[in-house]
Amino acid sequence: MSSSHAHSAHPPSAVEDLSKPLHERYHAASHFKDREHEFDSVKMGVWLFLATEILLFSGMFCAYFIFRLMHPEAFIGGGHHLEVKWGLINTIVLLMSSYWVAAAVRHAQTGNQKWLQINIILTFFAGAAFLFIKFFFEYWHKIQVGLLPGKFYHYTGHADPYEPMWWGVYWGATGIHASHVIVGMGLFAWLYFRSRKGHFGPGHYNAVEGVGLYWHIVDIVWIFLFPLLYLIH
Amino acid sequence: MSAGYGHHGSYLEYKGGHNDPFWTVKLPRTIWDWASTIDHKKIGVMYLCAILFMFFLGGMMAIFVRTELFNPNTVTTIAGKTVVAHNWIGQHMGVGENIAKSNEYYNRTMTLHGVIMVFLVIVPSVPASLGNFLLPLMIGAKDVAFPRLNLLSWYVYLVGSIFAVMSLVSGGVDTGWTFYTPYSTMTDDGYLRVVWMVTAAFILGFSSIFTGLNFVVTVHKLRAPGMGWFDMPLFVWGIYGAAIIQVLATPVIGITLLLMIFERTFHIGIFDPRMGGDPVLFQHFFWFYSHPVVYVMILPGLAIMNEMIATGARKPIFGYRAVAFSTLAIAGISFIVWGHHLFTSEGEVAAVVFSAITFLVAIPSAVKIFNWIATLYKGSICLNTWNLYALAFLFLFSIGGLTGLFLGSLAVDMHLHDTYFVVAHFHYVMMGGTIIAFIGGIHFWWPKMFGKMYSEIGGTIGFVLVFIGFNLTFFPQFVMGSQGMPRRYANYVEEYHLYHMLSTMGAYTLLAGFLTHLVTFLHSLAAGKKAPPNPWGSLTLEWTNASSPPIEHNFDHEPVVVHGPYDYDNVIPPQTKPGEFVLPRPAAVAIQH
Amino acid sequence: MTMTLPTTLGQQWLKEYFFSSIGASSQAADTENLFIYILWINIISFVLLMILLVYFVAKFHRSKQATNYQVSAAHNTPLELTWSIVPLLVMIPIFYWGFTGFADKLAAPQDSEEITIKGKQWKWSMFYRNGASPQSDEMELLHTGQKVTHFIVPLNRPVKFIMSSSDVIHAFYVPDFRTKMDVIPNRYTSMWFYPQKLTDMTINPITGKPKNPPHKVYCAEYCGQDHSEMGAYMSVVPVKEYEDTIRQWTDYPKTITLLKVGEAVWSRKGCNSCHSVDGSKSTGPTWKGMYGAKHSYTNGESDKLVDENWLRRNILYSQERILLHEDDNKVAYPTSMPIFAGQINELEMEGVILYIKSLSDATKAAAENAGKITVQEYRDKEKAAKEGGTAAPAAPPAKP
Ligand code: HEA
Ligand code: HEA
Ligand code: CUA
Ligand SMILES: [Cu+2]
Repeated sequence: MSSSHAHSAHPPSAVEDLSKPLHERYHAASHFKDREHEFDSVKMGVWLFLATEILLFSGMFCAYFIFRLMHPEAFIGGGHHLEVKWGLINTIVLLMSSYWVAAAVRHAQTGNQKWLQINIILTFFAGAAFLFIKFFFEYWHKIQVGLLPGKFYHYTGHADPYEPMWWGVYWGATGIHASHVIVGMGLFAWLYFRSRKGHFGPGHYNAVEGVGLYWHIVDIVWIFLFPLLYLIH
Repeated sequence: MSAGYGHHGSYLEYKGGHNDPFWTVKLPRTIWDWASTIDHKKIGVMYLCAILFMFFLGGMMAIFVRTELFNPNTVTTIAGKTVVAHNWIGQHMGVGENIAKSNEYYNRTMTLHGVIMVFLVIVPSVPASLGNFLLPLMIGAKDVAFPRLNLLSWYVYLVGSIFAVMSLVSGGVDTGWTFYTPYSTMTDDGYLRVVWMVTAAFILGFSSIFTGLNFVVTVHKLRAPGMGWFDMPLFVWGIYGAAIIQVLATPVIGITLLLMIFERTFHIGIFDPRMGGDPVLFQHFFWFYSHPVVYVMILPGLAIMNEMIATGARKPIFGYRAVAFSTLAIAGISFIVWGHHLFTSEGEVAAVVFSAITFLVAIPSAVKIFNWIATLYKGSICLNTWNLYALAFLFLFSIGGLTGLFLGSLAVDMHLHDTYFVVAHFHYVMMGGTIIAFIGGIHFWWPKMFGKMYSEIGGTIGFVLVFIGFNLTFFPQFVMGSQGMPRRYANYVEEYHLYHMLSTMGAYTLLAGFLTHLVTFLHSLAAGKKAPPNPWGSLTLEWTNASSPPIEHNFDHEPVVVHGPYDYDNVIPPQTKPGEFVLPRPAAVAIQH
Repeated sequence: MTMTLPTTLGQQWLKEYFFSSIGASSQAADTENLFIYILWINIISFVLLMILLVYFVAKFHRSKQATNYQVSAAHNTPLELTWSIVPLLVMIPIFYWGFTGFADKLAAPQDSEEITIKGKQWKWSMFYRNGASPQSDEMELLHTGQKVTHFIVPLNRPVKFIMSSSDVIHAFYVPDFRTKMDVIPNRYTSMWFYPQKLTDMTINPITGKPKNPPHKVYCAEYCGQDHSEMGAYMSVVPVKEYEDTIRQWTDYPKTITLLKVGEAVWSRKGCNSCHSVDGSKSTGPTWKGMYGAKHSYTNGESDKLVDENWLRRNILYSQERILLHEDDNKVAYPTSMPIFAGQINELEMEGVILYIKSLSDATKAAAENAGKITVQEYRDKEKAAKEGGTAAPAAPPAKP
């Protein structure tokens, strides 16, 4: 890839001191002045991306409120099928994961490799736990009794005629959120293997910072979903 | 500054050994080189080719549409049975006798035309091709902020197009480019076409988010030393404004299309009245994106205009700051006028507010037009193909924009909504605005991009054909529109026949015009004479500091900005032949700054 | 609102050119005036700009560089403020006038004649206040030879259309009245206007065309395959003729049988848009085999036998009932049926009930036999019953 090598970390001229750890040997891509410059840019990019994420979900919330106004009874009826218990547990799980990912960033800054890796793993498993609870204790049960979106809805108990729509909203919102959690876990796995190689340290932790911010957004979205879906009846 | 300058030689040139065998080494290497490049210039060029191809495709659909409408149905009654003769699409699809079928073919052709032109052509057109190529050059950067993201967005665009093509070959969609529910969730039931097309639009959305995001960061972080916000070429301002809208509006269409896919596949009912949903809600969601996006379409067009007008008149853009801020004003206001597409949906009171704001958004556009015409004053105006296009833009976009005022006025829109008047309006702004500026821009930067000059004769002939053809195609549509000809009609009553025939002839003239351009460009690539670094005597960095075509990392030294982008009053354009360009005579009156 | 000064200039030929006909009501005329007003503003500002453009290009062309090429002001705040504010001022009246016209087109007078309009792919159907719908021989839509509905409205009386769709979104567009409104499923929208010119088919000797042909009606919201065929014709007739005609339209040809009347009701009154007669699934329960079945509803009523009385009650006021599935009792058809009381007369009621009966195997024979009698015979029986003092079958109660 002749055209891309110039952008890669090592300008041909630079003399390498191989004794240093990788993250200290890191050079910003050649179109940036230095690491700071690159770091700021990456951070700005991530923030913009998160802005789009927020807008995406706010579209979802917008739909939620409009239909809640149109069919309050369906939404109340539907909400009663959700177990606050599981919602609450999942909220706590995500809040803890938020703390761990923040810690991970801090350890990256201080170059504490051991705890950096530990926190990344913790966050990863928090995500896993969230999904496990969501799928095993919530989705699975609803699939069995037929509380499914739209035409797949075949719940037999007495229900408001518009509840299929509520389930559309429920599955839509939580589904899109869950898919974000899955992506997040992928990112943490990736971070973990890079951190094993010692890629991150005081001078260079863009990736950790970025993924961290992303994970916070995923949490915040859930913080909104939880009361809207589980609590407001 | 870390290393990386140094590799000289055009970004286009083959970097391998000079006697590499062609088939086994040179070709595969070159292909891989392009496919894997993260050089914004190469990505820009690849986009340019893809977009022009899609433009061709969409144009062909338009030609079919026009051919059909030239003489859709002459009904003759044979033995009591009405028989439809002359039905172009119909006959070529082998259903000449059958109105219903040929209507359906028409609807699909018309929809594909709209979808291709909007999602695959005009939205990415200028930013992804010229923007990608020029933005870093103009602000003196070596690349966009995130080159790999840039490559990704190119491949996302390809994947999106593939979905669109899949939908096309599996029969196409007949929803209209606006995908209005509940029709779009009911039609073609049991086929995946619609889902594919909507998915395509969804994916393309990401491509444009990535590009926009990349540009915003690039403009904020990568400007060369000495280039403040108001030393940027106005092209950059325009692309920047469009990029902001892309980043903020696209997610909403994303979720909307996602919900629509759910609706189609699971029937969750949110847009389906029979299940308690609200079909009009979709329209609100859709236009909340799609109105801002019309300014995503036009802002880059306006951006190109600045460069062509300034260089073509060798004048500083009159009222630089006004033009810069009007860009931001348009971007801002564009988010709160979507309701003007729904005046006749339910007759809501909110319509009044939307109407008022719609008129407001016209002002910044007006300001730009005025400033450009003022820029010509006391200039030294050339009439190269690209400047002809710049002047044509002023003519056509003014008509397009001014007719927007009819539509913004509530009572009149009750009559004009969904008639050909609207069709004419948006072709005058999209085709007569953006595409005209785009074609002009391609001519303008052609020497820089490919290092070859094009033939002015060929260019001028093409321009004349396009200009005449365009007005011939779309002006009659204003008339038949105000006379009540509804849009998306495969048939029409006799009284509109004349206008439709004129319109169709215009379309063929347009085709001829664009083909002339195509030939001119191909000829230039094959046999054009070598381009000097700064043929038009422009003052922006891509002309003054880079060679044509630029070297792999744009500049061999980090450019330092020593003069404004339009400082024609005091600076002889660098890299031009001595004596080729002169300075203006100092004005008699004192100049105010 | 009148803004005559700028609009009188070249008024007539501009209108002829852009509208090809002079508007059919005062509202339409107002819209045209506004259109022409905007048109003049546009022409003026456009022409001014283009004159400047051409003049500058000619005067400052590069060939004249030596003489003309000069440094000039890079900006001029007062000038720029002027040309941002002037357009703003220019647009205020456009907005205001548009707004008044809009309000006028939305707010129908209290005393307006209400006509219910149903849009269905790809046909318009109308229902007058007495439940009648157009039966006059349908006219050919000029361009395809397809038959479309031809309906009438009274002269010099405000006419209000109350519209809804039974499938996708359509839009009712009457170009001659310069107005349109979307027609949306499960929702009522309305539009109104004030017809002031009689339809007049007599040929104008000069043009060789009808003096004042029926108004064309289009569907303006894309609704699929035959969107472009979804037209109608609207004639304006004197009030007297209007009243007579719609009364006539409620009646059925004397010779057809009661069963045929029922079938006609099914297709004309729009039952067919929700109820199939061949058992196929639709918005509402199919009529095939409905008679004699047992129904349960969301309002608690369960296992109701569907017989004459039950049908009669439901057809008149079905609103409060939403049908549940027989097997699992979950909602079968979320939407409920509109009230038909006042929309349907006794003859039609009898006819449609017989028709439904004839769709269940058990009662088929009986119904067909009972349905043999013609409208004529039915009317005679009615008369006889009146004279004989025995009350005729109770006429449906008026709209509650
Ligand atoms: C490039 C895209 C583009 C642009 C820039 C615009 C610009 C404008 N548009 Fe357009 N519009 C579309 C693309 C665009 N539009 C499309 C695609 C549709 C149809 C979608 C569909 O239904 O399929 C549409 C439809 C549309 C409607 C809905 C019509 C209907 O469906 O009923 C309306 C209504 O208000 C409208 C208004 C305007 C206005 C007021 C402007 C203004 O921004 C124009 C501002 C410009 C000027 C005013 C001209 C320049 C100024 C002068 C020459 C100086 C003199 C000025 C004055 C005196 C005021 N447009
Ligand atoms: C960018 C947007 C764009 C562009 C450029 C065009 C271009 C054209 N459009 Fe289109 N049009 C739309 C966007 C656009 N359109 C949209 C959004 C709709 C609404 C769809 C809907 O209702 O859902 C529409 C609808 C529409 C209709 C109404 C259909 C209906 O309502 O029933 C018509 C009818 O005449 C029409 C005609 C044309 C014609 C003749 C052209 C011509 O200008 C085309 C000329 C171009 C060519 C003939 C191709 C030539 C190109 C090459 C040879 C390639 C090489 C070129 C170079 C190297 C420079 N268009
Ligand atoms: Cu009905 Cu278009
Ligand atoms: Cu708009």
